[in-house]
Amino acid sequence: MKLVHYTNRSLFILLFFLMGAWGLLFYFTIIDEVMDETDDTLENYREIVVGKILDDPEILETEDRILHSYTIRPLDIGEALDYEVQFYDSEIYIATEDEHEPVRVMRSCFLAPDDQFYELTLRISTVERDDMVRAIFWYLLVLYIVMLLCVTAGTRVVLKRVFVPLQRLLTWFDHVVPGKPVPPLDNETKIAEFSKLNKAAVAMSFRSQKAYEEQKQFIENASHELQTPLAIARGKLELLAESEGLSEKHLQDIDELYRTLGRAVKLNKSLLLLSRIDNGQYPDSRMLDLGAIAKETLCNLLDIYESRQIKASVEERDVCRAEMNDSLAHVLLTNLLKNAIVHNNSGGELRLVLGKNEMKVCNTGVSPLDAGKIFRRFYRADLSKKESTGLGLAIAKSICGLYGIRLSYMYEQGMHCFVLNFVNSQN
Amino acid sequence: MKILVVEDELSLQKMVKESLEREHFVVECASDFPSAMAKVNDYDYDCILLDIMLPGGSGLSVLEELKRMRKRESVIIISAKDSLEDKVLGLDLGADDYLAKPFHLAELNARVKSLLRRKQANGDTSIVLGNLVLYPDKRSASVDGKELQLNRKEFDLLYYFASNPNRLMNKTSLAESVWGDNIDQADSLDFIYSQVKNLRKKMKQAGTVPEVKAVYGFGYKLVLED
Repeated sequence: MKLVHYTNRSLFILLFFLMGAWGLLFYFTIIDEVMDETDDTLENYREIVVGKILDDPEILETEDRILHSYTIRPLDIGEALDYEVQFYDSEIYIATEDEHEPVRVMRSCFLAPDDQFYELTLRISTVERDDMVRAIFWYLLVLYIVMLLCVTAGTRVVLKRVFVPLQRLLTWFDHVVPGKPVPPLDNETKIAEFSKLNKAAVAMSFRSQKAYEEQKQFIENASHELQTPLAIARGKLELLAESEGLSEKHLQDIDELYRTLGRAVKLNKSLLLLSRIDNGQYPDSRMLDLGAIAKETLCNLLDIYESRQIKASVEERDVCRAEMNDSLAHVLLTNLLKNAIVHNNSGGELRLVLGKNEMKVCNTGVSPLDAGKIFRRFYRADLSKKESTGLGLAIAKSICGLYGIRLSYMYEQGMHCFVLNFVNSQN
Repeated sequence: MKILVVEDELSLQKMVKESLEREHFVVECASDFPSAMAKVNDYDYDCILLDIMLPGGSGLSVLEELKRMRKRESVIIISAKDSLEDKVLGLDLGADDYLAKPFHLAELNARVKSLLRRKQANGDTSIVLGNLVLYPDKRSASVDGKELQLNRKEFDLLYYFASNPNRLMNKTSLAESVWGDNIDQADSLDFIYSQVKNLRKKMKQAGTVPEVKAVYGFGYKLVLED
């Protein structure tokens, strides 16, 4: 959910209840006030009527028959003693208009000069009052809805404007890629927090970029620095092996040392190659016939691994071409093809399929490999293969990454298949 | 035959010197840029092994100086910085070969000898070992004037043996020197074993005087019997 929508929704819910509660409170207070006003009018009315009656007792015999605004009724002494003043709503029938009309009624008692208690019932029409209440209700409701809409729309517009710098910063973040230069951030803003966030984001990107560069540089430097000591150690062993009077045991030990050192040399070379690829040190590329390179490489490898008796077949559907660096193309294809031979069963099958924008290398395998892990550095599917550096596929992946080639793995019909897809690399 | 080794890492320098001396070369050394410049200015060598990163300057400048003086020394660049630009730049400046560290000594011997043969023999680059003659350019070999039938792998192997006569060579180093890095160590052992077996059989049938001998589990040696 977007921040703007979220904030807007929260505000809407808050205002909906807050303004609703406030509106209701206002409404009932007004209504109460209006009711009170009617009752006050009735009380004033009573004072006047009772005053008139005390002045002129003849009125006792009269009754307002037109509007039924008052009626007078004599009371027993018993009734009069615990008489309570009452206010209530009622309706009366108005003959002239032939309709019922709502009224407010007040009942009270008074003592006439003839020492007789009377009950005075006063009525006042509440038609206007009810109209007013209705009007108040509708005005309030409309005010409530319009205000809610205005506030919601208003905050939406304001929030959108406020979050523009944030939006721009987020778009910029999408363009920050490790290993690539940090793009310039054009995000001028007067808001202090966003301005600070901008600065922090740029500074952090530069820092991580620097750390990334340093790490890359470190691997490359470390591998470089190791070359000379490795060369010395290996050369010394070669010379040592030629010394006079070495026993068989000594020679075997030297051989083992030599081979162990050989593994370190290989590992170092692979790391160096990886960091070179990542550092983009293979700039010149040209259109290559990868099919031809693959076939030649396969031929050489089969020659070397003759003893494994791999049954290789090449299926050429189309010419497979891509633009890339010559030596990297060789490394890529050698790694994939060598894997297909080395991790094959003795006497197993190897299939090379060449398509227009695709190359597929398949070899016999017992069970599927973990596709999520095989391209990681130093991952070995078969831990018994101590000689493997665990970098072959990582290097292949790096090369593919450099040229936008898609390298994927699948297991089909009892074969491990590595597929190179060149569709994106052509542009 | 005089060789100059320009290398700032003293152990490596000493090791290369020792190895080349076993091949009966006269070896001189320089460990920094000024002494290297002084040596190339004052003396003539048949071959120079040149490290690029030197204290006090770049090996490439030494190379430029050599070309400026129109000297005919063969130059092999030895660099830890196995980068393509260095290689291309070095070869453009007139170096004859490029060897990345870490290298096998046998490989170095083969490269040096190949250069020297090319330089001295005026076209005849053959290697003669007793009754065995190798023609690296034609990739063929003969015994007592009769051609020895070898396949590509066997010839490469014999070429390495011939470049390092009487030197003990490790199995894996042999495999890597001949077939490059593409071979895994575990596989190289069986592989080299069967290849050497074939080669020895063919050499024995042809009656060559030099003989490939196995030395315990370590490796092989091409022995020239006097």
